[in-house]
Amino acid sequence: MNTKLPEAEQLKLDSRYLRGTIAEGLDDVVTGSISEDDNKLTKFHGSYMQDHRDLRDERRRQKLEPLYSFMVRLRIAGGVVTPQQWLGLDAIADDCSNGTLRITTRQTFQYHEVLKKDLRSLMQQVNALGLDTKGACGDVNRNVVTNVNPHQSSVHAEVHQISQAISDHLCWQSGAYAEIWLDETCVYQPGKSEEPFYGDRYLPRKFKIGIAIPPENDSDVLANDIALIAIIENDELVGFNVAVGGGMGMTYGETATFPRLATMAGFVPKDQIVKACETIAAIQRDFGDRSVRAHARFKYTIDDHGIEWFNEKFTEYHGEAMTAARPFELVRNGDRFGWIQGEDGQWHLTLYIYSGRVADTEALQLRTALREIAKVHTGEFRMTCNQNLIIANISPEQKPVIEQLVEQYQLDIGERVRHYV
Amino acid sequence: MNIRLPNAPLTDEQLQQLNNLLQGLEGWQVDWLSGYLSGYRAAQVGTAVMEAGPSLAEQAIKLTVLYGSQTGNTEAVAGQLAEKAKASGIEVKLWDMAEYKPRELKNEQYLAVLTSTHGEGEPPDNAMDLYEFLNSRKAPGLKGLHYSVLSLGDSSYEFFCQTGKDFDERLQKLGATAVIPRVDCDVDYDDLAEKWIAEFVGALTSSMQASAAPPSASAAMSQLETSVQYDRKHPFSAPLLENQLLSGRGSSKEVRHIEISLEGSGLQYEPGDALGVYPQNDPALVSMLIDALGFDADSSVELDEQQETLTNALMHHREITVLTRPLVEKWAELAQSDELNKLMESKAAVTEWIRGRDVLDLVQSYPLADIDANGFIKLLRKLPPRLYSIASSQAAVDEEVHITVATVRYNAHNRERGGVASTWLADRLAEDATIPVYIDPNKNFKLPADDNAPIIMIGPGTGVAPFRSFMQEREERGARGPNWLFFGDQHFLTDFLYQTEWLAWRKSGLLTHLDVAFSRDQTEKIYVQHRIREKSIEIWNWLQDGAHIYVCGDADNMAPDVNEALIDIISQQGNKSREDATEYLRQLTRDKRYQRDVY
Repeated sequence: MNTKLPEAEQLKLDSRYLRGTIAEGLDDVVTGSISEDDNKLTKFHGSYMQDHRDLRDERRRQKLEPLYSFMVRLRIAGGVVTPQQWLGLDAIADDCSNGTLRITTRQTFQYHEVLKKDLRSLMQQVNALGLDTKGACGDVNRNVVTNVNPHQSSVHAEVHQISQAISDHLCWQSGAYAEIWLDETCVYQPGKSEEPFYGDRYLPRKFKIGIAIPPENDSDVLANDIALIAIIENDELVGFNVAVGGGMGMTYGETATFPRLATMAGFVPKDQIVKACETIAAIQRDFGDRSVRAHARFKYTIDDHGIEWFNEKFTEYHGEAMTAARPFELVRNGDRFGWIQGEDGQWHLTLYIYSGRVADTEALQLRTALREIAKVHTGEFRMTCNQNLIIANISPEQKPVIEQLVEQYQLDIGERVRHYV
Repeated sequence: MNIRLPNAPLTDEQLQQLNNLLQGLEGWQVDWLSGYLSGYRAAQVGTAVMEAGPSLAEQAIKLTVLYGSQTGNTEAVAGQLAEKAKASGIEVKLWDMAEYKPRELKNEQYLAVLTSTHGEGEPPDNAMDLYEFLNSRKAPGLKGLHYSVLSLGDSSYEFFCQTGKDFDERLQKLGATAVIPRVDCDVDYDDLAEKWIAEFVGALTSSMQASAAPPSASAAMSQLETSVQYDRKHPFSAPLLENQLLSGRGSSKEVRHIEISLEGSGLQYEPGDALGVYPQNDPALVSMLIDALGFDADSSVELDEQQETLTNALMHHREITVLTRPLVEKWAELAQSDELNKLMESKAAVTEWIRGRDVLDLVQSYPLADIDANGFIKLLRKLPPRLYSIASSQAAVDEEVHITVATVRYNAHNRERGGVASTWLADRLAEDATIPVYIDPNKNFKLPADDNAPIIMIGPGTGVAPFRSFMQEREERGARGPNWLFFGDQHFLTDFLYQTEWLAWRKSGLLTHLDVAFSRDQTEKIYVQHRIREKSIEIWNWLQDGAHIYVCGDADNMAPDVNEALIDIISQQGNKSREDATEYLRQLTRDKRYQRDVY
């Protein structure tokens, strides 16, 4: 065949499983930048380069290159981190970035203004915390988002485990990550596949999976490529309704692009759900439009072919059809600020975080406060899709300790925004 | 073997003959034949050029196409123009404006400018440098240049096609002639652009047929004859062209890039030479000094057999920021101060007292009872010129000279003080100022005569200046020798002097290696000598290949440390005793392969 692949596709194909010349670019100390092609590849590694726009012209006159830095985003399925991880992530902010952390709408952290010379150190420190940045951007499955429902703790724990399993299962596998960031030896051999699922062209475009636990829809689940709605019967998780092809993005001026809610496809039992997600991602991998990037999201695949076609393909790939979707109701999508006691007696405190920005300012020592909380907290932290933060699983005995810190640092437990919810 | 090339420019019969011949040949015979054929052809072409040369050269029109493009649309149209023009027998050079050297403009005959417009009538990013150059004092006269402008824009914006209009107006003001009028295209630019291309190329081809190509802009300009010889005693009042801070935000340094015009001076310099600059003292310091002495600022004093006001004498002609021992001695004789006399008893004490102090400190600490302005002036030294390593090559910048100046500021004895020349250049120079300058040649810091010789340049801080001139020179000369630069300073983000230029030269291949040391970007201090040691093997190899080594900058620490590193490299890599290694380096010095400009 003589057809030329579009640039983005050719780049993936030529990248030797996401290696490109990233490592060489990092070692080139006379520039703070990496090449344009490598910058597309580093997205798969959770990072991309930016430059300080306001300084561009000034620095050009000064015969200095633009002030380049990198954004780095973590993979944290369901947005859950331990206090130890919190402390580590907090320290990285000072060590490698601009001293702030940002909670994103996909329940993860991102760092800003990371200089090229500090990138490797950041990745290694993240790795030491048992986390990574794989697929936080790029044409692969992105961070899996999950409802943070604080009351049904046992269901939340199970759903979180599933989100972690999906995230790990759909994580890209190439040795590139360990080689580039963690100083491991190169394992690349021409002709040897390093991506049993993705292959050498990965997905046509980014791919998002979200999970909701009705009636809460804080994860805005139908805006995902795969929307999973937990079905709970007799207080027990039985499986998920699966909707496909959601996505809110559109390109202004491109009439062929549009926002779309996911279409309900059916029900899958919980022990099948990881495989079902792989199946669906495989359908997009094989049938997504790789020729026009603006038309490459899964929602267009579904829109072009229809849901019946999808269900046929699903049955063919999965070996089994979905059963009929079960009844559910989603009613709220905001966060429930303040203190809530779960069914097991544990307490959860949802804090309002302005723009998800965890920083110390003159008015509010938020980062310090959360660091102090992390030092004494025995439960976990959960980031919400609304860029807020839950201090989760506080024992009744610990509650006064946390309360005292909240009081001391004047943290916002939602009073200022409650009326929006 | 059978030649069956459909595109071969041979008749069937010729092909047949060739095949017949080739089939009977051995490999070595084919080799011989191929050599014979190229020699045969060379002889043929040589004759042809000798016969047809002049008339061919007269007929060829050279068109330079420059595009400023943000989204790629304008670039695409520029490509179309280039193709069309080439097809019509025009010699075309197609340039992204950002990659074009603006100074080449004056050598152009025919020019096409294609540009889009952005935001509030601003040029696209890649057009910025050229745009600013044309609108600056540096823009050359362009009489003799023939051009046309195509602008792309969006008429829903207030400043529709503004950048194209600006280029057009500016080129015209500089004396260039429009071949066909500018065309402004809206978002549906295709038809208009095509029409403009056709008309422009049509106009060029008809002028090609009509006459010989016109002379270039520079040739059309009248040559300024100069009879004045400018030198140290007779400095040239050179207009300031550009005074640009190089240090980025947050830097603790303040380094400036200064461009000065030598136009009409006849001054010539070579890479490695220095520029002598006669600075002015700070008027604030001068008036403080006059106040402290109780003199009248306007009083007349005798100065080198001429009368000057006291203020002028102190600002332009006498040194007041440096204390010398003879001055303090003379002062002590006049002052009759017990304290000062006691101080004079110890040489070391005087040296210590002088450090960080100036004439004002002397005047304030030990006032003289009876001295008049004339007597005071007679005590002072002449204000000496300052020397700066030249940072440009005339091959590249013509009648300009560039220098790199670190501004010296410090606080001593409870007063803010600064270097005379550097603060003058930084703070007190009006945009249209002139600077008294002359060329101070330096025979001991010269590029190798052999353009193929490798060079290693070691120039941290402003010591990098002459190497910018070296690179410009080698680029213009088309020198093939490899070039290696070691640069260092405090911080990568703010102190990488001329970073974009080094990166561009590395990209173009002119700069073979670029190694940097930024001392304060990590806990341990890293300097150029550390980088040099890291590259011991390669440096030794380069030396074996005849490399010349140049060191420019700080004489107190850097130069000795680099020297030490070189001796170690020669000793380790060359298996030599320290003594032999030192002798090896001395021999390099004698052979002019190890040259230093340190201060």
